[in-house]
Amino acid sequence: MKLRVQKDEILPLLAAMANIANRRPVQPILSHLLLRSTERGLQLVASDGEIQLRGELELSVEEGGQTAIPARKLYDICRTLADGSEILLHKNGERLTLRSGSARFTLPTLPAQDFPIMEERAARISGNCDGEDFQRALAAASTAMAHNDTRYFLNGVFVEIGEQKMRLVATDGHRLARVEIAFAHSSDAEPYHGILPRKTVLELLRIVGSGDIAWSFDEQGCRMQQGSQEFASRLVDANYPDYRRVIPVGQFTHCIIDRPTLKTALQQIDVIASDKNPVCTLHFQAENLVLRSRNEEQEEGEISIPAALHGDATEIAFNTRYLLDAQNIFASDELLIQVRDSASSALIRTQESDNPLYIVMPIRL
Amino acid sequence: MPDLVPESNPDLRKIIHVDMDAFFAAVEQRDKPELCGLPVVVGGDPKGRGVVATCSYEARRFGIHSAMSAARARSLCPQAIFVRPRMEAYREASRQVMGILRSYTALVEPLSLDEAFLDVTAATAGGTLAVEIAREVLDRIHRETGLTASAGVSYNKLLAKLASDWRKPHGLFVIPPERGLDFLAPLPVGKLHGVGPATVKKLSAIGVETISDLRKMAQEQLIAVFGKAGAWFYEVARGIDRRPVQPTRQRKSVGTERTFSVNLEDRRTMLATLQQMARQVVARLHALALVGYTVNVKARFHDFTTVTRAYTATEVITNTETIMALLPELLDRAAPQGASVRLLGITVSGLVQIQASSRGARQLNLLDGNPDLR
Repeated sequence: MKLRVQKDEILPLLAAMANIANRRPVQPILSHLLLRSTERGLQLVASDGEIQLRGELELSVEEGGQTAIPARKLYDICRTLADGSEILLHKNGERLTLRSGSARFTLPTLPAQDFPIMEERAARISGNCDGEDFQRALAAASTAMAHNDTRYFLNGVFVEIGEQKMRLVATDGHRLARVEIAFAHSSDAEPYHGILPRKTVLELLRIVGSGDIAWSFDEQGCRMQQGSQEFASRLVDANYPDYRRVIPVGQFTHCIIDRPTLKTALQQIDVIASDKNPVCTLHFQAENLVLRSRNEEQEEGEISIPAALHGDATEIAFNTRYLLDAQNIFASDELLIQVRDSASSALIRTQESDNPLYIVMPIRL
Repeated sequence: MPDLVPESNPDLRKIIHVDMDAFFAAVEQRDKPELCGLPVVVGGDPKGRGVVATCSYEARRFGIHSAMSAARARSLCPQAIFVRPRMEAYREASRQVMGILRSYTALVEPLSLDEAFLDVTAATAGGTLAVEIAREVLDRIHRETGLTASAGVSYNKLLAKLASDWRKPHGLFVIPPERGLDFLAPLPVGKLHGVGPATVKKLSAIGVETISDLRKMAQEQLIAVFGKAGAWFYEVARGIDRRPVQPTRQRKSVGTERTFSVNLEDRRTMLATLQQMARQVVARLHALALVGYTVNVKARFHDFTTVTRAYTATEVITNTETIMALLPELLDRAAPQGASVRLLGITVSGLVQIQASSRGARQLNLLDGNPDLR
C-alpha cells in the first residue's frame, strides 16, 4: 500500500478515530486503525468492539492494499507535523513507513483481516433527521443520563422512534429529561426503541455535525451516516424503565418564571449550597419564587425573584445542581415549573410545549 | 544530624508495641500441654492446599513460617504436628490480652488479634517509665493467660514495632529517642512500614538498600519517584512518624476470600461462589452499620499471580443485589475466560457509617416502584 494524504484532511478524522480506538484493549488490534485503499481513496476504521467509526478520504492511491496501525501513534505523529504538509504512507512488508518533509517514522502493523469489522444487520427501522437538531436534543437529554450506575441501562440514552419522531430520554433515577425531534421514516414501520450506551452518546455528541443524518436501527445496534463518515454502535441489551409512569399527572401548582433570572439566582444560591449536599428550598409564593439555602457551616442565602404563581403557595427542596441542569435543556426565555408537594416530582417545561420535558425529584429534609 | 533527634521535643510520645509470640500455636500448646516443645503448625490441611497461619518457635527452626503452604511446611518438617485453627479460643485469649492493655491506657490500637499499640504518654507523666509499664504488661500477660508476648518501646509507632521484633520471643527492647536514628540506619529499607517488595526493588534500582542510604535521598526526588509515599519514606528514614495511636481505627474495608481445594475453572461455579461471598460480606457490613462505594473482586490463579478489579459506584452500595449485578463484569475483568482460579475474594471498600451517610437531607427517587425496573 502506498498513498499520499494531506495532513489537514486526515487530522480531524484521526482525532475522532483515536478517541474511539481503545487505549489499553484486551485485543491489541482494538488499539489499531484499519486503513484500506478503495476506488476513491482511503478508508479508515476505528473500533473499540462496541463502537465503530468509518471515514473516507478522496485521494489517488499509488499502490492498493490494507493494514492496521496503532491509532494513537498515527494521530500523535500527524498532529505534530507542520500544517499543510503532505504525508506519504507506504507499507512495506510488516511495517508502515510514514514520511513528511524530512521526518520519517516506521510503525509495526497488524494484519488487516484481524480487524473486527462490525457485521451489518438488517435494519428494523431506518430514517433521517437533521444533524444539528439531533446534536442539540442528545446534549439536552444526556444531561440527566446516569454515570456508573449499577442499573447499567441508565448509563445511556433511551431512543424511541415512531410517528415521524425520535424521542430521546435519559434518567439517573433522580431526574429525567425527554426531548423530541422530527425523524422521517417509512410510514409502515413499527415503533422502535433501544438504549444508546453512554460512550456512544458521548462520541455522537463529538462527531455529529450539521447536515442531514441517516439512521438505521436493529435490535442489537444502530448505524448513523453523515457525509463520508459512518458510525455504528451496539445498544445496551436491557429494558428501560417505563419513563411515562414517572411523568406526573393531575392537579398542580405551577409558576412561570424568567429562565435567565432563575439561572442567576441558582448560581448565586449555589455558592452557599454545600458541595456534598447542594440543597436549596424553593418557596413558591404568590408573586415571587424565593430560593433559600443553608450549609453545614450555618451560612445562609436567600434570593427572591419575580414569578407568576397559579395554585397554592408551597415549599419544596431540590438539589441545586439538578435545577441548574435545566439550563442545559431549555433555550426558551420562560419556564413553567409545575409542583404538587414536597414528596412528589416537579416538572419543568415551557408554557407552550412539553418538549423538552424535565422532571426532578425533591429532597426530603 | 543532631537537629533530627527529637529529644528536645515537648510532644515526645511513649509508644509500646505488644506482639504475642507465635500466638495461635502458643494457645494450642497452652491448651494441649502434650504439644509443648514440639513443632506445631496451625493452619490448613497439609494434604490439601491450606496455608500456615502460625507455627510454634520449634517449627520455625525448620524454616516454616506463616503464609507458607501447609504442604511445603510438612515437607520441611515431616514430624510437625498440624492443628486446625480454633478461632474462638484465639479470640478469647485476645480479649483477655487487650483487657490487660486497656488497664494501662485507653489509647490501645489493636492491629489484629495478637498485636496492639499503646500510647502511654499520659501514664508516664508521673515519672513511671514506659519500659516499666511494658515489663509489667508482659508479666501480667504471662501470668494471666499463660502466653508470652514481646514488647517494643519507643517514641513512635514505627520504632516501637521494630523494637518489639528485636528480642522475640518474650523480649523487651527500648529504642530511646537519641538512639532512634542509629537504630534505623543499618536496617534494610524493607523493614519500614509501607515499603513492600515492589518498593524495595524500585529503591534498590536507585542504589538504596538501607535506611541510611534512603536518608541520603532528597525529599523532592523521593516524591518525584514515589508520590505521596515518597514524603513518608523521607520522614520515616529520619525516625519521624506522626501517626497517632487510634483506639477506634476506621475500618477501611470488609471482605472475605477463599482458597479452593481444587482450582475452579467453571465460570458458573466461580460466580456462584462470589455470590455466596457477597451475601456474607453484606451481612457483615450490616452488622457493622457500614455501607461502601467500591466492590473489589480478587482472583488468584494457579501460578499464584493475583489480580484485583474494582468498581466504584456513585451511590453507596447497600444490598446484595447491587453487588450481584456487578459480579459478572468484575469476574470477567479479573479472570480471563478459561482461567484456572485457586482463590476468589470480594471486598467492599470506601466505607461510610450508615448514620453518617443518611444524615439530614435525602434525595428522593424517581424510579422507586417502577415495574419495569429489575
